Amino acid sequence: MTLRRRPRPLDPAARAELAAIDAALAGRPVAPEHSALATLVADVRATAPSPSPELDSRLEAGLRSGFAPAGAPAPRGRVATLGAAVRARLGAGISRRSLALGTAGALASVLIAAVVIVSLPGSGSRNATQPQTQLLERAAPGASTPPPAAAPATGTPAPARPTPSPLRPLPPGVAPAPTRRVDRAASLALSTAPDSLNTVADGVVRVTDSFGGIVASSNVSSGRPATDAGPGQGGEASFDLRVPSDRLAAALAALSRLADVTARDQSTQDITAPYDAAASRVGRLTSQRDALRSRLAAAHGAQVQALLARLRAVQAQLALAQRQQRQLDLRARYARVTVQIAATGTRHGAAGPWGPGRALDDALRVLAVAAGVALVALAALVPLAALGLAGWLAGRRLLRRRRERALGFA
Amino acid sequence: MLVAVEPEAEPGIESFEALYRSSCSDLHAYVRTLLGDSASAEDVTALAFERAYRRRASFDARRGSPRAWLFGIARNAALDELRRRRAAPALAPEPVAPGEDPSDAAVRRATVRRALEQLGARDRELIALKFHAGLSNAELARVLGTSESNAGTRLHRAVSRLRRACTDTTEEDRP
Repeated sequence: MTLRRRPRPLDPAARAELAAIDAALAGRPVAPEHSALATLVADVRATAPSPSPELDSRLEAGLRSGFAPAGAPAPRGRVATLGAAVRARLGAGISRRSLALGTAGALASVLIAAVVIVSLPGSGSRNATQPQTQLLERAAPGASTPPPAAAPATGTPAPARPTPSPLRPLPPGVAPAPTRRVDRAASLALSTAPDSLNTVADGVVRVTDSFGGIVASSNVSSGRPATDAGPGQGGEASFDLRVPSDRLAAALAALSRLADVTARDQSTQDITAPYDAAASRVGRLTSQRDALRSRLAAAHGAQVQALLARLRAVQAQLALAQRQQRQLDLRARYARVTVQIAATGTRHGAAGPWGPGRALDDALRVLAVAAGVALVALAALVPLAALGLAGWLAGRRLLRRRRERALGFA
Repeated sequence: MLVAVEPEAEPGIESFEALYRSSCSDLHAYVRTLLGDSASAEDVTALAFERAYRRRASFDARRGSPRAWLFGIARNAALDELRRRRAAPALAPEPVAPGEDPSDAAVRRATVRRALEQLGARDRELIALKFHAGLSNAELARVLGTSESNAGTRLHRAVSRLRRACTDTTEEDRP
């Protein structure tokens, strides 16, 4: 660490000599005791070297041409070029290198911002498959595995594997299964714009949840929105849902409001008889098991082993029958709903010719994207600018030290 | 005939040409004294004016006079030249033709010239800035990047060394 020595204040005699030097330089009279100093001033000034005529003419020419570099045209008028205008506006102290560095930094920031925005999920500008499987954790004990979801539409690279999704108990307010047990199923095909695919997919999950249902499996494949460069590539999504049967109609209506409905199918199947048969079998096997337990309590010797073997067999049959009954019960309580969403490239709710409404939408979207790009660019630029400023200050300090050192060596 | 160079385009300096006219000789003398040879001094002087012209919009009157600003630019250019010289062979001081003027004044001036050559670069610079350029102590401080009192102290020391060097030179010349 270098300690800078603080200069002592000038004594009065020194101050008087400096004043005499200033007076002599200004042509004012000096005190008699400083006449030698005044002579020294005059002698030093007389030794001042004069510029040669060549330098004079060189500087005059430079002044006329605006000190343009050799080979460059002299500036005409106020400001000849855009670069000169920018430099004049920002301060002529800004060097070409600084301008180039600044421009490169700004371009790099915009590039970083573009990359970040493009890579953000839900941007809709990439072509990727996003399996989105919703698992509900409040499972009913021993609940069954729902059947596999329908295969997604052609073009989906990797269909999501149906996820075992235990059904949760019926939420409060959901009526128990009616006497007649009916297995209900529905399929819904929706169409939306590529950039709305994720929004509609989120809506499907939200509607399902609001009706007490679950998403057994889902598959969302984002596409690429249409641009000036070419037509957009439509994405697609498929959902396998379970919705309480008594709320199926309302749920389908809500789902239909999410996008344009291109197809809708519903089917019902009466499963009362299989359910009753399973229930009857469960009852019969339960009676058998209870009877075997009673006999086992009073059995002795080798009879015990035989009764135990029969009891294990009956219990296995009973478990199977109970599972079948439960599955049928769940099929009656929850309807299967298959939702297919296709991104067709047309804007949802904006079918028809391009008009002021769509123009406003487009303008808002462009503004939102531009604001996002600007924000990310700013976030990237601030640390870069701080680093650049620190480097610039350090460089200036270093240069100053080197110059002073050069003076010491001269 | 000279053409005024865009006086309205120079927000900080009313007329670059006026600054040039009033400072050209002094700036050259300062640079010449600092560098010691006329060829480099002319190049650095021209470079200083070129830089000053290009940066004229960045001049801030609150930070000092246009003259101090110009001499600061010239100083940086001269010091850069000195830095370049460290890698190259040093130039020998240009000889002064003896006996150009037989008068006492001429003898004194020759003595002063030789005394100046014996001074260190820092002292030579101070003398040149004060005596050739005629800068006030505040302007000196602005050019050197130091306080006014520090500039005054350094200047007084440099003048004292110059006077001693003149005395020594005179005594050496005495038969």
